[in-house]
Amino acid sequence: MAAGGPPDDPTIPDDAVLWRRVPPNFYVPDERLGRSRPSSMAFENSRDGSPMSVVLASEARSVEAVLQGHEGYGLVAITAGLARACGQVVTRDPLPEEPAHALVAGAKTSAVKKRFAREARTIVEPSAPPHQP
Amino acid sequence: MSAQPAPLPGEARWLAPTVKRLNELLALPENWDSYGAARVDPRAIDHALRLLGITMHPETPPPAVVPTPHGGVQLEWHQKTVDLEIEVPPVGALHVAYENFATGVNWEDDLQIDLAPLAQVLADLQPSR
Repeated sequence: MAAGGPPDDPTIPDDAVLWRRVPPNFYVPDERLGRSRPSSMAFENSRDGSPMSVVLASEARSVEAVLQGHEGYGLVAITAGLARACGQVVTRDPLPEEPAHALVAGAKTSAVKKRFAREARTIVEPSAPPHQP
Repeated sequence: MSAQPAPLPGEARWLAPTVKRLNELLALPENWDSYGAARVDPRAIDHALRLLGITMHPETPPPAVVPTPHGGVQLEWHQKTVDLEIEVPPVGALHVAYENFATGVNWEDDLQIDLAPLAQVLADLQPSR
């Protein structure tokens, strides 16, 4: 459990898939992978200090519902097990507009964010062209 | 790679695409990421350009630049065997994360005054290396 943060929810199994919306501005080219991928910055806690928002895929209405109103965004997936292996806790945080909303709480060091970025699986590619330097 | 105009004689190849991208990021509205992100702070843009001017070789490839939720920018290179990320906040120290998959060298640090470690790893990204 992260100090002072919410407790981990043991009813969310390690193999639970967590979806994270990623705005097109967060995609970067990776020469080693031969494709664009989300920047580590896509896995930061929120500006107000609240934990990183995700959606529990198994309880979500649909991919389309998660991306509704967020044209151009990509959608990526990590697992609860990966989050826990990185010292994070995973907890439900249902919202009126998204009952499957959950939080990944804990310090997002560079190492944690980079691991999420490298291991995130693409569910929906961003429809806006990714940034190319 | 997207088509970029060739640099003018004597102009660093990273300069024009980086300035263009930083200008794009300055135009982002509040909450551009849908998670409550701040607008990009012009001070972070200024710091990033000064940093690049000090540490980059004219032939160093331009960075990918992403905004941060806190009003800063992050400069990134994922090229050759190197992963290099530099978080540039509006105020305060830079945070640098460097990983070289060929050598196994892996470090991260907050840098404020001594930029020598950064200049050294940026030199590895030059085409001739």
